[in-house]
Amino acid sequence: MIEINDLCVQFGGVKPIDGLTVTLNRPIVGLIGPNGAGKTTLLNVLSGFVEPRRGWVKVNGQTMTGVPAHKRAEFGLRRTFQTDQIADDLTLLENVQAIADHAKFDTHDAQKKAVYGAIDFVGLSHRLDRKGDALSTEERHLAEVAKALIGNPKLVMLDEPGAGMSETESEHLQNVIKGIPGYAKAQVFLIDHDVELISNTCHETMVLDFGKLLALGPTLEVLKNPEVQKAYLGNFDDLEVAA
Amino acid sequence: MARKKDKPDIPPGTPFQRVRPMLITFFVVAVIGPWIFSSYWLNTFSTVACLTLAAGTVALLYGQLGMVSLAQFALAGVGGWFCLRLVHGTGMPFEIALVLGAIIAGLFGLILGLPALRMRGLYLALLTLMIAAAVQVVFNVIGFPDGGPGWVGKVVNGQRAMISRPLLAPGDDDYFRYTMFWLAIGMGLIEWARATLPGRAWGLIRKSEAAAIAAGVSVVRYKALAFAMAGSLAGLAGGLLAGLNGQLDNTGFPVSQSILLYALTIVGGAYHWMGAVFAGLLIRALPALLNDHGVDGNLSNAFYGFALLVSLIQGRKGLAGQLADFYKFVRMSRIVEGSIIWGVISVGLALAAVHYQAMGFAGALFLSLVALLFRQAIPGVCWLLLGFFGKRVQDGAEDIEAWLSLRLSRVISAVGIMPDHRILKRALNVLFIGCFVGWVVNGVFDVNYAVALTIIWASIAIRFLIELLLYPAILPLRHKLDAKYPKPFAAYR
Repeated sequence: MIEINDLCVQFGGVKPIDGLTVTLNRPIVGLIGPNGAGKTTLLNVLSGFVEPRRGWVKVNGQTMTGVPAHKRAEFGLRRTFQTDQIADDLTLLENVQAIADHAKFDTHDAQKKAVYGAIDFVGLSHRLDRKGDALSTEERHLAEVAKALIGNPKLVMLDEPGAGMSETESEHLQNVIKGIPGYAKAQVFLIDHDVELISNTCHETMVLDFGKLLALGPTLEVLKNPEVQKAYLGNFDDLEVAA
Repeated sequence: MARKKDKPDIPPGTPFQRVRPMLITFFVVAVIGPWIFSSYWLNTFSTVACLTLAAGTVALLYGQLGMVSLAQFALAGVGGWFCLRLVHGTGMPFEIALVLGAIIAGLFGLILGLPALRMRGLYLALLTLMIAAAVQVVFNVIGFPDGGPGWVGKVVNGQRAMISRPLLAPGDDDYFRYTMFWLAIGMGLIEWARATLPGRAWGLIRKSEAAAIAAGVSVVRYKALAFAMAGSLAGLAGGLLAGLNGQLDNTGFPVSQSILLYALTIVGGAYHWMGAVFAGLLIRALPALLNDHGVDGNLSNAFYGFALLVSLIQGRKGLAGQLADFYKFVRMSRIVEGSIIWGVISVGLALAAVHYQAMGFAGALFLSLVALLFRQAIPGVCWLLLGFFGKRVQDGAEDIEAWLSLRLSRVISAVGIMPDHRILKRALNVLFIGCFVGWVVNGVFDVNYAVALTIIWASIAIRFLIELLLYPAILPLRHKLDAKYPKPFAAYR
């Protein structure tokens, strides 16, 4: 469960997030919004790269404010980045192992099992020994997801995992994302521009616009909301005036 | 969710398997080296080994973390200074002083690494450059210890004392092996770290520090580890240099050498241990060879500038990386077959050379081996060298060669002989090897050209004949071997 209360982020005169209060408790939560809506900033606040000016964030009841970024991984916050972070000259196995090296495991076997399990879960067990630079875009994105599943995560945040994927690839990704709450017992927080990916996976979707909450609720309802459609597609009345 | 399976990748192997080829190479060189080379060249190669270790530390920082440290040679000086000071001051055994000097240099490296936690790229390079300059100034002022009184241990207006070689290695040949031993330990440590947990953490940090932090990696700890390792191994190299000559020169560790070390590590390749070996050879062995031929060794600096420019344009992997890419495709059968045939030919020719009193056994063996090695390697190396000028030059050279070969084949077939389209390539190759290897051994062994050329060309010709005669018998064996052990260097990096 993610609780956000009166969250305010300010960079100079710009407020990417402005007074956001929201509670997200469904297993897979989507976050959409036009460019500059504050999506990635919210993710950066959650993972500790950005200190909020005001307000607080709690994950599973634990306050995150003031906890340094590398401690949050220990607590169980895992994230992916918009650009994938697969090291080119390490194999896929080594890339995932690198994450497991710094997670807590009781035994060596448990660690090994987690690494192989995560890779198998995203469907890449046939690519174990392939080097990062030889993986396809889809495989790199899936590998990123596998990395985020290591070490008993409580919250997995995916920043545009479906960027640049074809339709069939996106379908596989949807299945993987849907499986995460069952596999890793973690909540998923998904940012993507691909409305189809969001509508097929997320139980609940939140829409941001200019740092403010525009809508929150069951995904299909939210996507049908005229306000949301206006924010996404632009205001046609304005266009007419401009013309 | 298993998906369609296609061609399997070759696993990188356990850490030991990944370090093993390097250790075997160093071992073979350490055993054979003193047997072949004269004392002058052995000392040169001992220096090369020290410089290889220093280049390895540059490669560690640059290749693993993308950090440019121009102070590694200065740190070698620091290690050498403390090693000399400890031996002169306390009379402790060389080995202990060597290790202590390395540890102190490692501490210096760690301090040097502090700014690197925040800086990278150009700023870090400038900072380390200034530190190297500061170290140079300090050495100019206080000098290296040579048995004098006081804290600096410097003799004023008197006979400079030298430290004696370690008890284990009094002679030049022993000391060469001794250096190779330490080199194997140092480079082995670096390679082992690359293949295990620290290497993976460095990989994450290199890709993105933010991602590494988000994964719970302590960026500070692993950067500090890299700097401490690099510092102490550079210090070890410095101590070994001190042990080689018994003393160190005030002007022996200038800033320019630090920069040269960095530049040539890039040329040699920062992502493969071979790159450090190339860097060591380029810094010390090439100028020595030129000097031997009466050419000023400093001329090689002009070549280095060009080589650096080219390797920056052409790709980040350097000579070693390109060579490794090339040898990914070598098959097991060729290695086994090659070693057997090479061994037989070179031993045979070396015995013949001794019998006719043309030259020594070891020299002739070396000559023949190198000729055969070059026969295999030169086409690839020429291809790589052409690659320095760009793909277009590479393609252009291919076109010219093809055009000439075609004309030549026509002439040959007009005479009524079955033509071979590779005849021109091979002829050029053999000619080049004769000239080049002949030139090198003329410098190293003082053999006259006629004998050298005879041995070189005889080994190539015999190999060709053996292949031609045994081909039907060898072919099934080749298939068998290749099926059992597929390309051994394929996963190598």
